[in-house]
Amino acid sequence: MDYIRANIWEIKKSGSLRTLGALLALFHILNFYLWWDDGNLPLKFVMQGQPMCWSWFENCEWMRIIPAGILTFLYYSYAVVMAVAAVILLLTEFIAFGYYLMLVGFFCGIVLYFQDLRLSSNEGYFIFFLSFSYLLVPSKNRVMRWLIVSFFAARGLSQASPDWLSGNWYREHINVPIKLAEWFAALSLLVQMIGSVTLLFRDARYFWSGWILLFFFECTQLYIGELLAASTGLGALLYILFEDLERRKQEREYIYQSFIRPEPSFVLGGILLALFWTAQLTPFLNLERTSTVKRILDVWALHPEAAQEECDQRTFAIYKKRVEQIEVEPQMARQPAMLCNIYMRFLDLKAMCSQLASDPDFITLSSAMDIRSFRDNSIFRAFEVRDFCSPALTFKNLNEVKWTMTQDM
Amino acid sequence: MDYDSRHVKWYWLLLFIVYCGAVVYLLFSGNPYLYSDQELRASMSRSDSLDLLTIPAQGMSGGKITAQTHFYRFDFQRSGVDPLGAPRYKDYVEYQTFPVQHGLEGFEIENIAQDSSGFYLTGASPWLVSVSLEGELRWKFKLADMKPGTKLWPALLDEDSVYAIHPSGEILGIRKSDGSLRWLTNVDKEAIAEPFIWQDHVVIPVKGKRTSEWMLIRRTDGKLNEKVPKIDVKPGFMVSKGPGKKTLILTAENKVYALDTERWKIEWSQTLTEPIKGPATVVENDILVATLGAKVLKLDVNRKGKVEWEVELEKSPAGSPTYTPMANRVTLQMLGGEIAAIDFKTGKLAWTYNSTNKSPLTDTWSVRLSGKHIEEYKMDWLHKGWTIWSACSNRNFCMFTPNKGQLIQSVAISAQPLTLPLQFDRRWIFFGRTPKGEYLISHMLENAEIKKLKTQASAETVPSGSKN
Repeated sequence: MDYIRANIWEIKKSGSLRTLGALLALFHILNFYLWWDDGNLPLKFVMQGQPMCWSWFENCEWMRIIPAGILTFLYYSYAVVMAVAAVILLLTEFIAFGYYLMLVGFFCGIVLYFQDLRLSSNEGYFIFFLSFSYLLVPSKNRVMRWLIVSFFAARGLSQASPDWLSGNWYREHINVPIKLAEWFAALSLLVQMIGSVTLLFRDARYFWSGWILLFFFECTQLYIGELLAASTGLGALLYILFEDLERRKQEREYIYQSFIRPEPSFVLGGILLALFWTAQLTPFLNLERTSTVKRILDVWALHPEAAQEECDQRTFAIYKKRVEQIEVEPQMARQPAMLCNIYMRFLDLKAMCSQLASDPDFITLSSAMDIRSFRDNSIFRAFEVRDFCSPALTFKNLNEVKWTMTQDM
Repeated sequence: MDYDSRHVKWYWLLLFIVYCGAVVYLLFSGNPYLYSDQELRASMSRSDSLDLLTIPAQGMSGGKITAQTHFYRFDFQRSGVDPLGAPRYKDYVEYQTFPVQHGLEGFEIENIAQDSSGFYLTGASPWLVSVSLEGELRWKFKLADMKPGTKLWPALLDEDSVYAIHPSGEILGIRKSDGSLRWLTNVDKEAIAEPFIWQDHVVIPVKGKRTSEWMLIRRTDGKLNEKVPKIDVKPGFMVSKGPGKKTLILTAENKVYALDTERWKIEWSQTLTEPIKGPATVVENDILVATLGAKVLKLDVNRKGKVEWEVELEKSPAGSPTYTPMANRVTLQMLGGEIAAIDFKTGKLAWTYNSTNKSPLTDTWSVRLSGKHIEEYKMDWLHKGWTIWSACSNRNFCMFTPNKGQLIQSVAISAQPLTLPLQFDRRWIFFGRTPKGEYLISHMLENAEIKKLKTQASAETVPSGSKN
């Protein structure tokens, strides 16, 4: 409990941290709103048959042991608790109460978030990671500043790919000529990577240049329609601003201050930052696709905002007297980063098997998929399966099955 | 924490400058689009290697090279000569007809490949349909959806497989027996001329940077040959097998080329004054071509395609020339259906027959008749009964003597033939289309054979009836 009390003390003594707590609670409410707007997304995925596992789980069926009723309760509690926490942290002096409410809301949210990989997003990652650090990691002001700067810089880094720099993302969202879109894409990378780092400087010229650039960048994103990303970005900038003003005030009042507690340790925050940056740099480490390290780090890496991979899938529906080359439509809309996700394709094909099973002539689906990352020189055969509808085929043995086998399984 | 500490120390500034440099480097290294070169964009956005991984990636084991079983105009020399060369009787009768049960609504057949296993039909739809010689659906295979205005290339056949070529550059090896996929390869380039089988490969000519590039796909496993020959020939060319084992004769626009397939080099090319109609017909060391300007030319392969003779026709040709062995005749149908026969040696017009032809089949073919008919029509024994056959009238095919162009027989069939007939088990099997637009398979048999079959059939029914 001392550990928790120390965390609460840290928040109590900093006005900017209290504001950040309220902002984080509001981000959670916004996140809930977007889930709700998509038809109560976490509950919808739970109701569906097969979950999509996070890459660190071999199997995630066990995640479904929580009854749907409890998950529904957690889902609505998440919104209510966060709303109350936001009001308390923003308008009252009951900081400890607000803190505990936020802690409860955070655990409700994280249980829902980890139910299915399809719920993951960069914004969700930002909100939950920042909330975790805010609630449980000491030396909060420093950690928060570094984390926010890291998120901006990492988002810029993930955009240093031909997909993003082609400007296609901008052209998909706003009607601009291709050359302008390319420049927007390049500017977006420069602003996020360089502008964010200037937020670490105490020299006002650097700080304000970076802050204003990032502010305008996030306003543009909001104009384009990236509600959650831009709101979280603007909220984070608001906190940085308050924190900077607070620090300057503290510096002015330095001689009057007395320390009743020692400066909190930055070790845990440093470890978190190191983990975060190692994960962001995985695309540059050339790790094997199947390696465990890559699988674990992938969970901590930001999703690329424009699809980084090129994929090519060919599927054949086999009937008694005919074969048809078909396109397998995704079961629901997905973000570009998920387009080439092998697991998603696996789920789509299994769903297609169930759909076609009602046709008495239908036998099975055959499918093969190739993936190439833009940083790779060669392509990767994700799978090639002649009998995809076989009940013996699971995601785990997908790689072991070869087309040329007489009996696939 | 004094006010001075807000000033950036020189080493932090240096670090910041280095960091900014790294960001700019990342921007440039990740952004080939800063260069506006279209080719660079294309090559970055789509890798060639992506599409050349076959399905299955490791290839099928146990595949073997088998003989090609279908040639347009009977052989790869495009001679139009009955490959069996056995003597036949003139009294053919339509013994059986079978409607084609492809089971697809609005399926327009544009290409027919055929062999003893059945017919393989393609057109503007993405379906490849296999029907038996009796018109029953054996299987059908739907390839990827196609852009409007494109169509599947004619299917290529060998003993085991049928090769389907999609206009987008996807090539599929399909097992003939059950229609299952053996392999799939995507060259991701549109073919610029009709693909064909050559030795162990399916050859897909595609557009290269300056010349045509020939993608050689191994028939056994669909793997692309490492060597991609670059042949400087105009798109839309047609291929015939030349003399020897390694020469191909290509015709495109007004040019004839001889291609050495060992070195993949053009040995010679000959430019004619008029565009060529259809593929070349190769007779030993000679090449016969018809031109749109109503001429037939004979070129000598041994003299780099030098024109030996040319003859002018009354009308433009409707198809390629056909050679009639022993009789030394070159025949072809002209627009409207008239037949012209030319002396192969002298290049003089021997005769024309004023027939009409309303069917889409505009090729003539050469067939040997039996000794009985040689005497009956006073044909020279030396010529061993070789005669000229052609689609004629509305739904008929006609036989002519080679010397004088005398009509021997006109045989009625129920549908207009769409392609040269398939010779199978003493039958000529025609794939045709009725006036109502339905597809029909006609089995033509000699009268004597029909009698034999009927006798056999009655002999089989009598014992079974006596049992009852």
